[in-house]
Amino acid sequence: MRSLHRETPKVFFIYNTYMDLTQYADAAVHLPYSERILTRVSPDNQWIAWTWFGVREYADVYVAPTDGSSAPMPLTDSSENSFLVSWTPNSRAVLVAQDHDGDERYRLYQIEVACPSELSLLTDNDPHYFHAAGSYIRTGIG
Amino acid sequence: MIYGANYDFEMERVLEPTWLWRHDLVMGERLALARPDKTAYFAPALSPDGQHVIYQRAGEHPSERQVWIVG
Repeated sequence: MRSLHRETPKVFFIYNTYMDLTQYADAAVHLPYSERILTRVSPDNQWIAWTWFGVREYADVYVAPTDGSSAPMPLTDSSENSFLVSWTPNSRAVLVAQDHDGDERYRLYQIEVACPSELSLLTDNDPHYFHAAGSYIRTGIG
Repeated sequence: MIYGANYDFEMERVLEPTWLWRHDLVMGERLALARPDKTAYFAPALSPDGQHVIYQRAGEHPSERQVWIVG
């Protein structure tokens, strides 16, 4: 391992620029399940995003370049748990799900990597039904 | 965008099963790509070329799970 970025005393993220993408993704998804879930590499292989528990009070979505050139950056900073769903086809944004007070009725948001914490609501604001994941179609946004 | 939802956006009614929806984010239109009649919660996934969606359906037997593709 070439370098180690420590975010908190309890959780850390391992970078190794000599890993190929498969090795990197494999290492990422084998970190403890309770701390990191829903890891997704961007379509252009330049970014990796994930949902990270335990760093802040609520789960947030983080992103980092796959070459390890910079530390992980939070894309969300909310008083609700945020869960990564997918990337846009152009690799510039992610789809994130948030519920309200744990009601599991998730709203889907888009967040540009270049504009962290700016959530664009894509679905109903107060749904009385349940969403199940989601993905962008290439002909749509992104 | 595609996702599953236990909601009929055309009739504005909550459903027991999860239906597969295509949501046009520009026009705001939603098109049901699949309307399974049996209750099942699934997370649809898009193929890398964006041409197909894979999702699960419940079968006749309570433990039966089917994998379907829609283009």
